[in-house]
Amino acid sequence: MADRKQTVAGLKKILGTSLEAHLLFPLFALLMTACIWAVTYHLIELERTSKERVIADSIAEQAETYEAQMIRSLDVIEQSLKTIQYAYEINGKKLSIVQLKDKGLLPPSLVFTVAIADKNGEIIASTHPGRIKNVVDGHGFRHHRDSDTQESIVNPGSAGSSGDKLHFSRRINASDGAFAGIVMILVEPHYFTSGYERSRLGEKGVLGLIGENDVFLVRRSGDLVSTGEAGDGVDPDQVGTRLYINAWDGVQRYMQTRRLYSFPLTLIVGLSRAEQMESFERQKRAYLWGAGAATFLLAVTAGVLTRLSWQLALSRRRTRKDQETFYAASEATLDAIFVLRSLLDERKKIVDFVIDNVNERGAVMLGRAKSELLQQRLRDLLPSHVVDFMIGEFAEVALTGKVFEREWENQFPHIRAKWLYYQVVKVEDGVVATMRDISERKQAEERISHMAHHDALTGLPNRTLLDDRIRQAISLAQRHARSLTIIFIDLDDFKLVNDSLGHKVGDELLKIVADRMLQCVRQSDTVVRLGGDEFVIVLSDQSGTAETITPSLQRIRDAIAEPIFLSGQRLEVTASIGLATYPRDGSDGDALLMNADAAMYQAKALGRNNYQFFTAEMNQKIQERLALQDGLRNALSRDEFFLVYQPQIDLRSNRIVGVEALIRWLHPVMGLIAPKDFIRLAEENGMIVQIGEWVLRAACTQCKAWQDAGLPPMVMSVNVSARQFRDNNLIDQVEAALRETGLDAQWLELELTESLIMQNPQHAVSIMRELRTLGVRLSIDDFGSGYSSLSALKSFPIARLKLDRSFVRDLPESEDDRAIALTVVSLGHTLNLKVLAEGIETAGQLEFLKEHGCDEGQGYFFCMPLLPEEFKDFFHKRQKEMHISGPVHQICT
Amino acid sequence: MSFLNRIEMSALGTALFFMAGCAMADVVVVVSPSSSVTAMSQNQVSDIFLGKASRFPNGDRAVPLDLEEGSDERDQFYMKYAGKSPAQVRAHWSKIVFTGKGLPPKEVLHSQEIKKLIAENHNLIGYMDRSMVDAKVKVVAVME
Repeated sequence: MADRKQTVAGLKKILGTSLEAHLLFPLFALLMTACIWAVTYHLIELERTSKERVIADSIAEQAETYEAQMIRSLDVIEQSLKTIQYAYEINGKKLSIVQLKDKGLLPPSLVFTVAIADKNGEIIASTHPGRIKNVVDGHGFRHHRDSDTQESIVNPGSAGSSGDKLHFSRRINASDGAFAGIVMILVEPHYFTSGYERSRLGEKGVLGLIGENDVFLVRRSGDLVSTGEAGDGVDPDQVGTRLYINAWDGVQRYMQTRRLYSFPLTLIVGLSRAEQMESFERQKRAYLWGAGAATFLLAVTAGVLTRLSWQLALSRRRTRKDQETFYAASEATLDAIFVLRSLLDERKKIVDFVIDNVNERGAVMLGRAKSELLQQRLRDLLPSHVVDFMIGEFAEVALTGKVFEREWENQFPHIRAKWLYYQVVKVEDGVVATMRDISERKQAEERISHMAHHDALTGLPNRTLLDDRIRQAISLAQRHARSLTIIFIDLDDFKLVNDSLGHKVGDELLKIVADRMLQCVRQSDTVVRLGGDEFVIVLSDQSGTAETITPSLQRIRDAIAEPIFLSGQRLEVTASIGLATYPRDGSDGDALLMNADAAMYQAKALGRNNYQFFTAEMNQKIQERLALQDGLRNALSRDEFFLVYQPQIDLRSNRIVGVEALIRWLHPVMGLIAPKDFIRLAEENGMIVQIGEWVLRAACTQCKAWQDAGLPPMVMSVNVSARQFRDNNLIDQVEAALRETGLDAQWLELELTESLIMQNPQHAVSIMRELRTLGVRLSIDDFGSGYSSLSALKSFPIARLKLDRSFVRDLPESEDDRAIALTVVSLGHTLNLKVLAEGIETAGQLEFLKEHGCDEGQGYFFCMPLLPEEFKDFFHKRQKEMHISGPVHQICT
Repeated sequence: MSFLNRIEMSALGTALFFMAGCAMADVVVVVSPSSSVTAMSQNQVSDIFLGKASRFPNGDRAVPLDLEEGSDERDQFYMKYAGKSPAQVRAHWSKIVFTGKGLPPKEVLHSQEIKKLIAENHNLIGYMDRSMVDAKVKVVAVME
């Protein structure tokens, strides 16, 4: 069975490749042509032989007939001659020819002339008196007179004897046996060919009688009768039929000859070959024409069919190529392709689809072999709960021809892909479904979406998602006449942890805190990391009173406050928390967030580690802040900033060694605003960079102006904010300020805070080195409030430490502060740095610091920050006093 | 030297000669008054004389009588009733005689003899000039 199949397949292949139709047709046509011609020639041959047989039969029959007629005719003549001879020999001259005639003993006088001649050749009796004259010179007469033979003769005929009658004669003997004369019967030669039948011999047949001398006594072809012509070699003894080309008229004839015996005559019968074969030739022509026409038809048909089938083969080849290309493409593609044929019920409604074709990827997608899928119904392949829906969709496409596409979360257990994209296109009797595994894309999309909406570190929703969640919570609250609370959480002093323990620890801390916060809210609540150490919790579905929120709040605070152990350290984290409640504290997300933020600020302002509900006063402050922010934007251009200068005094010599430039903002409405009220704002909105640059320039300008005005050179200290320091332009700014103002770099000192440096010590050191290269002095501001390590401090290219005012305030009473102050001073000296104490307000403080070796100081005890003119006055006055009374203790008012 | 003679040509020549020479002659066909035959068509007459029929239209045996060759009435008769010249008549009879299918009519010398013979035998049929007709014979066909 398999063998046979194989054989059949092999045969088909061979036929298909080597004997394509366009080759088969001409071959077939050639074969057919050969057959047609073979049959035609065979038929012609048959026809010819049959015709020749007919001719042979016919000529034989006619020869027989002619021979019989001749014999009978000659018999009549012979008989008549004998009768007359007898009658004459008995009656002598008394014999009446007329009587014999009347008795019917003579042949018809219409044809025959009977005559009797005496021994002298004179005619003595005749049926046609006067027709014949003396015959003494006639051949017959002489023959009979000279030879005593009792037999009839006929004149032998001679060439040129045309028109002569044939003379049959017989000797008459006298009673004594002597020659007494002859009896003659004369007959027209035509008579012997009068049996010529056109219907049988045709126009070109021949009947003829040849005499002794090989001369035609008579010969007739059609109506043409000739006499006395040469016999032209006709063989009297020829046996059977022979084909001659007759010399006398050049006609080819079948001939038969018969020798007659009563007289020395030979008869011939001939049939013209051309004439006799005419019907055959006609038939032959008909056959040839038929065969020719058939050949032509065949050639044309074969030509047309060949051309058609060639075109068909071409188009089939093209189609096959297209199919192969398509197949290759469809196999190469990453998409699964299913060619589905519609199955209709009796009402022409599509009830199912059959897989007509599927590519390899499609088979892989369904987890089956391709052969298992072909001709399968979808209903047999897929679970019913999905297939109904799917068939409905496909049928819609097959009906309307609309392209259908969608993404679909896979529900078939045997399809591995989680997400599929499929597109369905109508084709002739079904649809083509293209499916693609888009799980990866979907995953990526989800990841991106998650990343866009979530904080990478903690995995909590981010600001983007927060707005959405708040909106949802608000609509939920509106629907159920409930409220929601926004909790704004800022971890206290998180920056310190980050700075001192490193980012990794800070990040871990944030993660833990985030986790704990998540633990103490409901599923429906949202915990969001806004960035840095700021978190927002949205508590939905609240009753709206402070009492009900407090337990939740306390839970959160406890969760945060629980000690955390990280890198071997015990950390206790506190948070400043602000709360705003919908609808009381705002009708939308922005307002609620802003107000919660304000409440949080309030909590921070109230010493951190506490929580504040939003109040209207806070709103007032917010308004102020907004106003300040607004004003700040224009303050530079409106020239509303100015600098004041606080002198720095050498505690040993009491000399003014420098000034610290401090910024002031004269608001056109709110009046003078202290730095602490707007620097943070400026840092938040980025204005600090421009402001810092302005301060730097203004300070340099002033310093140079004083030098130009004759004041002794002194150091101008300028504060650098963290933002400015991070900004890569700081070096350029400093350089530009020095160049443009013409101030020597050695008179400029930049004050950096300890925390600023510690945010990124390596970067800070490199910038500090560059600044040092310029010749600018550096000092560390607010020293002691941070966590600078001794080793780090050692590597800083600084000239001076500034002891933070918080350690000076309680001197000399506070033991801790005394210890710190002393440590800082000794540290500074160890590192060969000068130490300046800030915020000296009392003589006691001054005394203590001076006593313990602090190099320099500044503060209200010496002087308030001064305007440039005031400072000039102050300087001159102080110089004068110093000149009079030496070191002075109370200088400032 | 051969002599070719076209029978038709010679027949035509003879016919023309006789038509010119005997324009005035008027040959009628006669039978015995005792015969029941009253009238005959040209074809019936010529058939009997050319050996193609041997009976009268009424079924009686018919025996034709000819005048001798060369007589005006004979030539005129065959010309008018059979459309044949003497040569054609001779050729006609030659063929019949040669093929043994029959013999030409008996010849008599004179119209008088015909009249006499016909009067006695109702099987006979002959022809003669109209002027010869009398009560002894019955005219059955006249060709103008």
